[in-house]
Amino acid sequence: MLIDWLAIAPEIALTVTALLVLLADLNLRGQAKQLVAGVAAVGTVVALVFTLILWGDERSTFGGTFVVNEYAVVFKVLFLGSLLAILGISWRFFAEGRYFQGEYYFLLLTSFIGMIIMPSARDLLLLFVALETVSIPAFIMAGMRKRSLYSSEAAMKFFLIGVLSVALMLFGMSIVYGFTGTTYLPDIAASIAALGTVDPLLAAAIMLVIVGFGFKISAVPFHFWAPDTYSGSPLPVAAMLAVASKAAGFAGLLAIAFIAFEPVAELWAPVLGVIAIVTMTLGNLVALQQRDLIRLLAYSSVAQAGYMLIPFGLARSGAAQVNDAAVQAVLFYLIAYAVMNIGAFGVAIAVHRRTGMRSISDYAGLASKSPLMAMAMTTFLLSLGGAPPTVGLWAKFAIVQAALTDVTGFAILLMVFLVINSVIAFFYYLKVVKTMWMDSAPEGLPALQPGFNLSLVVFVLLVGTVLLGVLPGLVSDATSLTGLAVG
Amino acid sequence: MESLLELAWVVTLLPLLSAAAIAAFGKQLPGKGSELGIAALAITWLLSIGIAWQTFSAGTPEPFERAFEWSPLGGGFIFELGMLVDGLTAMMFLLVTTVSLMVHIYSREYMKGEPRFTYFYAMLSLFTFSMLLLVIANNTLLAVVGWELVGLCSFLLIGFYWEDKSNQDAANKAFLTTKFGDVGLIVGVIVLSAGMFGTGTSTPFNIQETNAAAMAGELSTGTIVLGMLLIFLGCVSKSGQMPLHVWLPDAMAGPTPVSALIHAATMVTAGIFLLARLFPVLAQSATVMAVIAIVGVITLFFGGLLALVQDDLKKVLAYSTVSQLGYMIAAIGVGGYTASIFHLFTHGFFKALLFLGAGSLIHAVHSNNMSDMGGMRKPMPHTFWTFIIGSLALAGFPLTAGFFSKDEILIAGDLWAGQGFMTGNLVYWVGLAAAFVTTFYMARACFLVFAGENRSHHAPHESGPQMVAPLMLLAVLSIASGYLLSPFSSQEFNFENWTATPFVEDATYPFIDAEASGGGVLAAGGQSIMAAADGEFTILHGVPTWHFDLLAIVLVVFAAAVFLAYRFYGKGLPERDPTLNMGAATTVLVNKYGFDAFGYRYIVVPVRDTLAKWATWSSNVVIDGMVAGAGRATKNAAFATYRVLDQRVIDGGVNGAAFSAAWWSDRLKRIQSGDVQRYAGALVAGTIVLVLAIAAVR
Repeated sequence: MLIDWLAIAPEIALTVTALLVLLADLNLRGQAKQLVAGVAAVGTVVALVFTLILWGDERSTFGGTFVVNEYAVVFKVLFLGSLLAILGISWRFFAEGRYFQGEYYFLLLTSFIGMIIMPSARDLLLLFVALETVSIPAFIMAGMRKRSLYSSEAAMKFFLIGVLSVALMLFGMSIVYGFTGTTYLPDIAASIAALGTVDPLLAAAIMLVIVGFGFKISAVPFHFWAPDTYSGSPLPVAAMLAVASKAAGFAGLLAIAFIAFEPVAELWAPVLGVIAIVTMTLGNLVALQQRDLIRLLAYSSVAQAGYMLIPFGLARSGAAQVNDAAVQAVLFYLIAYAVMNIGAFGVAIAVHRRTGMRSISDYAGLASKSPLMAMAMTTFLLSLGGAPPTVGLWAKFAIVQAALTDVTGFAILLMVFLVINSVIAFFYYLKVVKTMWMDSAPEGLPALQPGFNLSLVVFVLLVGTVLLGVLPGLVSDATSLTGLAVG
Repeated sequence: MESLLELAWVVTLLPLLSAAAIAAFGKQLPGKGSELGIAALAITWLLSIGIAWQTFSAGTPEPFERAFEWSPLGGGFIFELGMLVDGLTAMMFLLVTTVSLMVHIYSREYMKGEPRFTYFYAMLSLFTFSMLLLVIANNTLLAVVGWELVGLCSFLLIGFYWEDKSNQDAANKAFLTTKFGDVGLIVGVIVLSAGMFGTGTSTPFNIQETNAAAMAGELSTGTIVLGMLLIFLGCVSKSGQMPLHVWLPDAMAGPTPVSALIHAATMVTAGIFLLARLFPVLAQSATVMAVIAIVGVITLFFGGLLALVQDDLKKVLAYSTVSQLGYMIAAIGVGGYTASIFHLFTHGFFKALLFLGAGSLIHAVHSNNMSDMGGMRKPMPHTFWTFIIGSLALAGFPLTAGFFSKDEILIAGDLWAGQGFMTGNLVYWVGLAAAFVTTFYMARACFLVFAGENRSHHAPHESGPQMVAPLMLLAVLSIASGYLLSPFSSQEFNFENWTATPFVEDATYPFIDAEASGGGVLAAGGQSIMAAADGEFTILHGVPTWHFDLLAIVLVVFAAAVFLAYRFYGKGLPERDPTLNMGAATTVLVNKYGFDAFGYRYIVVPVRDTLAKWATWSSNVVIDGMVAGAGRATKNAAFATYRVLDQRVIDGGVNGAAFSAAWWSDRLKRIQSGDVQRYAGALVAGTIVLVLAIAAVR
């Protein structure tokens, strides 16, 4: 079997970088260990260049189970861009804390290898391997603050729940294989379509597979690990879990839902729609009560997952136009979400560095001490809420547009919940904004010293949030592709 | 002259630029940024006058629409960033920029020495931009953006003196109450656009297209009723209609120029503006119109009563604003499109005048309360005569602007009643009764403030020229603006033709049988008058003729109210006044003063003390309680969800740092043996529910 090496070049580049990081860490001593972050960044850029070279190509290898098309490339650019941003906000955090830096960067890179495989995978087994490659390093990273009870708790809960849900998913996949006799996604679709009626056992198996991804994207009621894990993990890891790992879950769910199970969309679309409603409502309601900013962001990210599940609720088998619009809305929302949420975590890390705390009251008077950081945080939070002129508005708009493609009663119901939840969400986002701008800072608090790397990342993301808010076409042109179904 | 309309976007964007410039360099400038705001507003004002003149002199102007078509997300859907300039837009431009410019000039003196002077000017300019954006928008989505921005500016300016907790509370109350309505507005806009999308257009938010589709019957009744009622909910909260008016009196916590600009002349009329914009849509449904009319009638009457018992001068004006907004809403509901926006236009001038006059008084005596004023006529002559003109206009004294516009509303009600609608009678008679109340509370305020002895602890003196000049200009406009639509107006160039867009002009009410009743034209412009010449239609509007019967009633009502007010308040504070009057009544002229006493005891006292108190009570206790209760319920629901689902059922988890080993081990044990099992339990339970539900459905 001939292997298309160029198609897997980004994955190879990232793998080589991960190994280099491990080697470098073994051979460097003391302060020199900080160099590994640079190595990781350079390797990521190389992988990014390979990915961009693939833009416009249609390639497949490993017997069609690994596909590179524009859809996959957009996802890979999203992941690698997130990786660069997370490296930027990690550097000072890990250099100053008492962490094993080399291991952290190795694990981070490994996790991202799994992520960039995910949008290309067209086979249940490959999807499963990719998902585990994302998860297992993440379990360890969540526990990297070894001396902290929280961190151990975070890792433990994450691990146990993760293993359980993956076991359920694997069980579901095996039943699907039993019915269809294949693990190749397009063949599964053909085979399910040929079955005609859907056996209850097959329906149950489909639900089990969805549960596995529900854990990854922290949909209610599979979300309980998320707030504990986010608040216990090192903050950059929390950012990675909240954004990149969640995006990987969505990449997998998109492939499963819109390729393999597309013929039975009438079965899972209402389920995911209801889960979307429950997820966003519960996430927002609980977020209202939070005093810890990281827990607030955690519940907010649960709610955001709910928004992103809405387009799944719109799906219908055979309605290519509706399904394409739904996929594009999810993809656009994921990009917007990555930009604004990593930005918010970046500012949170900078504030955390000053006081070692992260309750919302620690943000009092931030505007008078560090106006630019406060401005950035304000923009990110407003964008998460969906205010103009930020990218968050267009992300929500993309969902509304998908719903307008073919208006049904269920679509209107979903829109109503989207609007109500958007309004609720503004309360807690604006609460933080108000604290930053209107409350006075405690005496003697120093200004933030975020460091160059973090400032650069926050600045780039800030520009991105506003620029995409004015010109969403920059991204939506790239997301308005129909590469998924081509499979 | 086409060029001027093309420049309409400059009118909107210039205040945004000045807001940014004030925020950036305001503090370094000698005028602390106020000169930037005033210069920008002066230019937009001149442009607005030009645009107004051009559209006005065109008779019935053709709408001028320009839009950047923009398909940011692809997929057969076009978002428009565009402007729609017609008579309605030009009218709002003129109103907003005039009042805003006056407030900008006035605030230089009024806000002098405030620590956040520059911030104040930046916010004023930002508000002006937001309001103009709402006005110029050619699609509902852009209008919603402007709508939310004015709400944000209002929130920030109500809480301008944020050191005081009660001001923050007022700002929060305003924000929450209006946000409640905003949910309705946004869902309503989506419902309408979903209906529009069904007609196959790629610009479902476009206002003109929506109006055209509604008139052509392409929108289903369900879409129109649901969509417009939800949008109306947004208007109820924004335009201070009962029962969501509660935020507006509290909003008086903001600086007085802000009350004049935002909470009297412009922002609170946004709801009426939006209803006027979508008038051809709501005119398709008798239900929607009836709901709008009834809400308006209730508000105009009970809102006015509340003004009777206030001591705070700004609160008198605030409740009066609630009542006047009720007139406008009620007029929309009885087909008085022109009457409604004409009252919006004149009310903007005279209510801004009254607020700025109140600000001048407050500036002089350092108190909002009328019991701290009195005898202000001598020391503040200019404030006095301008305030009197404003009060006369508000009370609808003949030949002032308020007279022409309020009578237009009453006539609209009468005509609607002639088509067989009960709401028309309601608007006519309740509107007349409320005119009495209006005159009474304004006369009371004027007597308490200007007559009698000076009860303040200060030596009041007239405000400086920067505050007095805007008062004078607004006083002139409080009279002059009425002549745009009066029996003296030209048949071709008048307010009605100016603001009647072709849509409004051509539309008919589908629920009125035009053949049978001989009626049914929405509003008359030049073409409708021509159509009427054939004898087909009854014109529901047109240049008014003298209605001497109505004029007589209005005069009697006015005289009676002023006379009563003079009896009770003409000499000084009301506490001493009634007893003095009663004594005189019993001893000197039994018949005459007996009538007074009767009126006082059986009309004024019950109305003022019982009914109005009850209304105040219901407003403060019942409605506030409901709002607070809804808020509490949400909070409790959130808290309960958090406590039960997250903390008790699931967590109990490790939430705090502890330093005792025993505590650690105890907690660690829980981490391993307790909590995660519950997490996993939730996961498995969720899975089982999903699987069983699906299996059962199949």
